[in-house]
Amino acid sequence: MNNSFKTALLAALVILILSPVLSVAGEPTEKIRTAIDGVIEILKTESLKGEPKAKIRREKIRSAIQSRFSFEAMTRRSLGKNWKKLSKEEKVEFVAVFGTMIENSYIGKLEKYTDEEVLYEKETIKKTSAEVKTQVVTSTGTKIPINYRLSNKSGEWLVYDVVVEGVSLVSNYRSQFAQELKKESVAKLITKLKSKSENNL
Amino acid sequence: MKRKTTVITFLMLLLFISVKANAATTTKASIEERVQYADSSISDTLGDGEYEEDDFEDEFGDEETLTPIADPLEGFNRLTFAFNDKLYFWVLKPTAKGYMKVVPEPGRVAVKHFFTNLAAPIRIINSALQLKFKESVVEFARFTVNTTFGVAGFRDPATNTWGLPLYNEDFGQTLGHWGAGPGFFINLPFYGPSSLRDGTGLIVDIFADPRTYLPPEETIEKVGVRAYQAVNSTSLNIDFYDDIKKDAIDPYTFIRDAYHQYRENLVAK
Repeated sequence: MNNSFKTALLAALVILILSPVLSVAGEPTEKIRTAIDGVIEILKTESLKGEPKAKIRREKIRSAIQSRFSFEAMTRRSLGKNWKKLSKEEKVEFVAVFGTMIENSYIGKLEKYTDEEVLYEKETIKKTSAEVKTQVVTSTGTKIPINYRLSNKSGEWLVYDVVVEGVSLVSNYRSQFAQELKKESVAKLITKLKSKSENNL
Repeated sequence: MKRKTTVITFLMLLLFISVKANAATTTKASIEERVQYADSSISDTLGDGEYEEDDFEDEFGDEETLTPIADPLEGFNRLTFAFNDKLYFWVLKPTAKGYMKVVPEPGRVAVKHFFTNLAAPIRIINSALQLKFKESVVEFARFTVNTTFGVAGFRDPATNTWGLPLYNEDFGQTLGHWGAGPGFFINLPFYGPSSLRDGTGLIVDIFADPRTYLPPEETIEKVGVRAYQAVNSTSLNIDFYDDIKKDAIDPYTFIRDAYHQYRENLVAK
């Protein structure tokens, strides 16, 4: 009697410990899915189609992306060691400019893809980080692996890197930023990024 | 008549300029908004050490530990890069655009399938050389199915009906699988980004490539086949290179690093 009571107690305890883990398991994927579905929804809305509606449509996509992406984390990681060398004002401006550039480029690409299917393949969670593996199936049947990396340090799962075909956005910009900052000032790099983002849409 | 054309051209130019200006002010406004927004959110987290560097340790980012590829030939590589860039904008892209008008997308996809299927021996052999026998057999099955039911490879029933995935393997990856590093970066004229290892692989793969043994027999015609393949694949992704150039701060570095990451990821698979 005593023994089975102990077993039951232990089982209850195990379930109690595991249950929050179980419920959290699919969260990053669900967050990504909601964000992507939201963007697809905007792209499919008839009243938002076409060039005259571009401005409203892009603003809507922008806010859908902004709620799920942490451009600050993205910038920190892309700048690596150089991040600490920036003044507070430079940091603020860099995040804004780089964020807008990434956004514009992402929006431009999203607008081209309409009848693609997104498959959610796998989710891995390590402490406060997660990776959600997806595959985008194009209309011609080509599968493009796109992985989203998220962190929930702020209490919310936010994307800090996107990996397309094994190529990470953050590491790609990291080497370019490092190269630029070797020969140029931060202010010049910010100006460069600004003109990039203006030409991107 | 001439005057009419001038007026129309002028009006179009005006329209173009106003649209451009409009787009520029929108981005500017949004950047300013973002600065304000970022200002309030960053100042909360700055300096309290919340995002210190070692904080990233447990995060995903294995390829950040990937050593950047050596580039002792950077001077030469940048020259060939500039050459390929001009080749793309002056020859390849205009040709692909004209070709797009003549051949509709399904036709171009069929051509892509044909060339992909033709290269199957490379994938079969290199899978086997890496002792990936399941992949080798799958590739052999794909080749058989697509060559017969897929009408000489113009269709891809292996993927679409049989659910057999394609395994991208080549001799560069085989060398990588057995421990060879990429050596250093080489940007080949016409072909584009490669490395010492992958360039060697390219040469070896010529022997496994049916295009080497099949007609046409003349070298110049063989080159023509490759050129046609390049035009076809460009036509299916016409904005790809333009997008890279738009996103990159230095397109050369961007492509070099992306190529390195892409290849090492394939080798690891």
